[in-house]
Amino acid sequence: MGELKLVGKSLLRIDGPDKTTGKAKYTADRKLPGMLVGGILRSPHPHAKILNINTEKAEKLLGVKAIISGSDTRGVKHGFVETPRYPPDQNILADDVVRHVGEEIVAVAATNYKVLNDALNLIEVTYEVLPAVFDVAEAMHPDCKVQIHPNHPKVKDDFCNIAGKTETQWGDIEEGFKQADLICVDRFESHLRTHGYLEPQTAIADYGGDGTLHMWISSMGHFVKRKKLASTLGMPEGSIQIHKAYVGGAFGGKIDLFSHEYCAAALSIKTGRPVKFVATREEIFTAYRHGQPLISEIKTGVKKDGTIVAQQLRMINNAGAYKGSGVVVIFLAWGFVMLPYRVKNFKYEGYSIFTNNPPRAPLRGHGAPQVRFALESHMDIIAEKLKMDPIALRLKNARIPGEELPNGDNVHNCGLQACIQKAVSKTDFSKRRHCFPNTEKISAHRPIKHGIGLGVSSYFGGSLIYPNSSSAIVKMNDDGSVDLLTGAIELGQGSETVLCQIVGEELQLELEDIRIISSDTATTPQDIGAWISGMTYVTGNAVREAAGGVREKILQVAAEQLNERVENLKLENKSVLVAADPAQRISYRDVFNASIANSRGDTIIGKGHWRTMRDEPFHPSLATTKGRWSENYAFSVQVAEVAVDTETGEIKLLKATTVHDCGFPINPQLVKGQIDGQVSLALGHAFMEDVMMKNGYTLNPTWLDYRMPLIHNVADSKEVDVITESYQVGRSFRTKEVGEGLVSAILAAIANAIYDATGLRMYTTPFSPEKVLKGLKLLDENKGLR
Amino acid sequence: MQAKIQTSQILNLPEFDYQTPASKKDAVGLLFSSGGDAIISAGGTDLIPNMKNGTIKPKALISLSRLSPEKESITADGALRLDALSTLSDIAESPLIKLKVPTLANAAFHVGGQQIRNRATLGGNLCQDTRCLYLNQSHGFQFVDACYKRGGDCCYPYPAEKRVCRSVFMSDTAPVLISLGAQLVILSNSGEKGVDINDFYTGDGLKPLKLGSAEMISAILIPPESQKMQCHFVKATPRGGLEFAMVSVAIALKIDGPDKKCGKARIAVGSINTSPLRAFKAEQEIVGHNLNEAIAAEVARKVADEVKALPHHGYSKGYLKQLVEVHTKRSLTAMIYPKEPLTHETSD
Repeated sequence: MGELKLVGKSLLRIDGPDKTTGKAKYTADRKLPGMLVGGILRSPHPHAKILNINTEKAEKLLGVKAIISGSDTRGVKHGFVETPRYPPDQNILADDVVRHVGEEIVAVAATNYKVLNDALNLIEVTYEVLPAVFDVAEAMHPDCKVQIHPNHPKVKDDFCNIAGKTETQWGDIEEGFKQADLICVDRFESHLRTHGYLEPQTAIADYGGDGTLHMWISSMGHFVKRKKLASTLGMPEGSIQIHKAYVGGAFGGKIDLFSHEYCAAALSIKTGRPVKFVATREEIFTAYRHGQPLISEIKTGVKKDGTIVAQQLRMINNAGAYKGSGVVVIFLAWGFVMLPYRVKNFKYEGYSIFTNNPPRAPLRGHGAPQVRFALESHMDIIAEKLKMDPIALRLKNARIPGEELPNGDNVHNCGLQACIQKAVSKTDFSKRRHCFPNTEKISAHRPIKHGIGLGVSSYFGGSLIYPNSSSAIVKMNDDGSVDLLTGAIELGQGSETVLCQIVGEELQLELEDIRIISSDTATTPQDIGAWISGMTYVTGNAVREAAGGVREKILQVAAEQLNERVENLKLENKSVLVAADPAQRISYRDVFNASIANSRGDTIIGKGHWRTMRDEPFHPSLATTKGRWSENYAFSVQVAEVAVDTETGEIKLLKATTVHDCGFPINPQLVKGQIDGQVSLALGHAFMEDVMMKNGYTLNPTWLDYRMPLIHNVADSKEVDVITESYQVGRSFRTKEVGEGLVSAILAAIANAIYDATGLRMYTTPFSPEKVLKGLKLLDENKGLR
Repeated sequence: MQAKIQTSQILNLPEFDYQTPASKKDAVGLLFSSGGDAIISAGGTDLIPNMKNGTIKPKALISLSRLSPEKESITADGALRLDALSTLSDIAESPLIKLKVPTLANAAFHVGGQQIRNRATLGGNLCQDTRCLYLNQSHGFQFVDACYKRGGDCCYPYPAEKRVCRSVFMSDTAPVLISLGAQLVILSNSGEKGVDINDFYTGDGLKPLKLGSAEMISAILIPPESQKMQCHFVKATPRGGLEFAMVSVAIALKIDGPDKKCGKARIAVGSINTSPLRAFKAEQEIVGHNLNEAIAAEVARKVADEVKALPHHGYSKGYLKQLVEVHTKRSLTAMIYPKEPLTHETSD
């Protein structure tokens, strides 16, 4: 059909006006008649046995409507992962033992917050405090006296507190290292960060008289939430309706079931009244989930010409008190290692270790930034040791189009080599590296050193995990406008705009002619959710198919009406016309009426569904990595330019350049938004964000002391889209991931730029001023300058 | 028996009486008659969060919301008189203040965000409470044993010690006013008295102000000689705004003649201890010298040695000391060579 009308265009977001004018309704904005407020009594100890819970006094308080504790939820288990190898291990409310500060013990529903606070204070819990362990090395040490859970039964290593293990290998690792001219060993560590979503964790439950549990939840995918609520509450999925509400950010932190969501439902069922839970920011910072601190131990063997011949890795994750996504991140980490570069002989072990910290969740990139920071720093170290250009080293090993990956996936039209070359030319990288003047000579008062660095990353798009597919419905209205019914959830990423663009393209409609009805489990079809970086690809193709179904029906009816063959028709301006004779046309309105009249009442409804890797039965094994993972990988190269103040240790990211193979950008402006957002998130990761914890307690549970970048900290961010795919009406398309992979290479690029500027190699995040200053002093001392 | 902190689901304000006197005189009268259970609320930007977090539990608030500040003026003897009720926005934007003591306007501008500055007052900024990572959170379920400042006897940052408080005094305007040799006009039932701002801070984190329970700051006077000094203020923060300082340095120098001879010096450092600190010894060292880069570096080292930093908000003592030295050196250099661009910015 030639030129694209909506797809590939930077159209304005359709949720923009609602959000910018404050009309958008979030869960916490909702008030229902007779609504109660809920709250949770949490553990003040990182590890303790609960000897007794006495709620008598609280129950007698006027305004307290219901109280539930561990005895009401005993045996109800949930977890981020629920597989035979990793069965659910979290209690809704603690049964006999609490394993982290803030663990949920009692939930109360009351008529207002004053009563709720009083009730929580009247509950008496008697504890026997147990010894606790927080550091991952201590926790996994064979002599560790603290056992948080028994070791995983299938993991036989001589370590303590093993939550899970992933291992894989190929080739012959011993032989590979024998062939190497250089073997390089490094260890990197990344720190604890949190998501920083603005909208707090919130849930409203209303178990009304209609036998349906109505819920509003700040979530990342309503169908996953519904599934977990159904299994924990013992209700059929069809009896739970999660309604649409806007979501104010999530970044990975709102995927799995949270106690407050179950408690809202249970308390509403118990009282027959709506119950609302809104977590305080302190609760979110101390008791909810953070990201994944990861230790990466890497040994790489290379030939003189830079060919990687062997690579061995051990990743260790501090999982917190329950498995959470800790057993997933050690699987994903393997993938983030093997994606960009060819390695003939490979061995990988990933351990997830229990500690008495709050459990973890995915955080945008889910392991990729930690892994790529380590690997790309390691690549620069290797290049220097080989006296080789770091770009040449990367190009030597980087994947090329059509390559098959060790897990059987294919990189298809992989744009990595092109990305590296474009990034280098766009930033004049090779010339500028090590070429900044030593500014100390220019001004004694400005001991600022400049550096440039580069990193490479890759990320999967969509995978098989519940509910494994997305479906969509497009139905036509009398006037020729359409309604799109999709389970896709808008949490800031722009899904509604992108999906409407696809519908508009397939039907040659303007965005104004498309109404989207989204993320309501009762009225919209299943959707994979906004958490495995596959919405544009999986849901997008489902929506394309649904709209395509409508297009075919329209063409068929029009062909009959115009007495013309379908291939001679085209769609334009809510009409079907004969391409060779545009005067011959029929409006969508007339098509709609003709369809009802002649096709036994067919009101023109299109259905679509999509699933990644149609022949693959399951997601890959978390234990062995066997099985396919994705059918579209995005590749990226990012370049960082930094200024290091060598007297204060402060570093400024002056410019970030992102060159990425995103397949085909449906909405380039939204792609740009994702890039800029990820660069600023990585900037926070690199320099300032740090959940300070001591003995399981959080020291900075406030926006003031958990420092996220302010607007003036945000770096100048430029990008180049390497387009390797195309969009054609009526054909499936392959968009690639753009929502979370770009937090990774830039982190490594910053670390490499710091080295370029100062000679200081960063082995741990964050690159805080204090750490940088200490490192620079040590460098000077070693040079004998002080 | 340790005092226990109440669990709080949302940050409710506790109950309190509320009075809105029509004059400062009435306000101190009410303070006096409350017998020490009342507290003055000016902008409330420090007080209200502290009440919500439960670090302060006054029985009554005496709100100055009905009072309007007097406009800044020059007194008969040439002092610049500032009403304690002036908001930080007033201070930051006042042409007279910008002309006479630009560092004070600069310090006021670097407090919080615009909304905070629109409410927060200069007097309140001088009387703000000390801060500590453990103290300034709501203690819903962690740190439920009250620390010393909350009425218990433990100290989380210094677990080996009892009955101490090493929370940090983080006002931005206090070090500047110290560098300017300001006098505070303290009002009580028995009338006004002048107090040198050097003597206003106790150095005790538990009770950082030398202010009687029935007293309030009414005005701030900046002597004429200070208005002629060269001044500099720098607030070092990890993000460059919207937060409290890691370290702040305020310097006032009298620099004479082409030799740049230093005739008088005041150097104050904020946010590193239980009160703002003045580097008296280092000041003595600089006076009488012809100023140059080498002197700046040497004095900066002396200032960093003289003022003792307490680790706070995740910053180590050694790092804070280094920051004091660097920012003092850069401030002095900027003052000695005023035409060169400011050197404390890391932008390219």
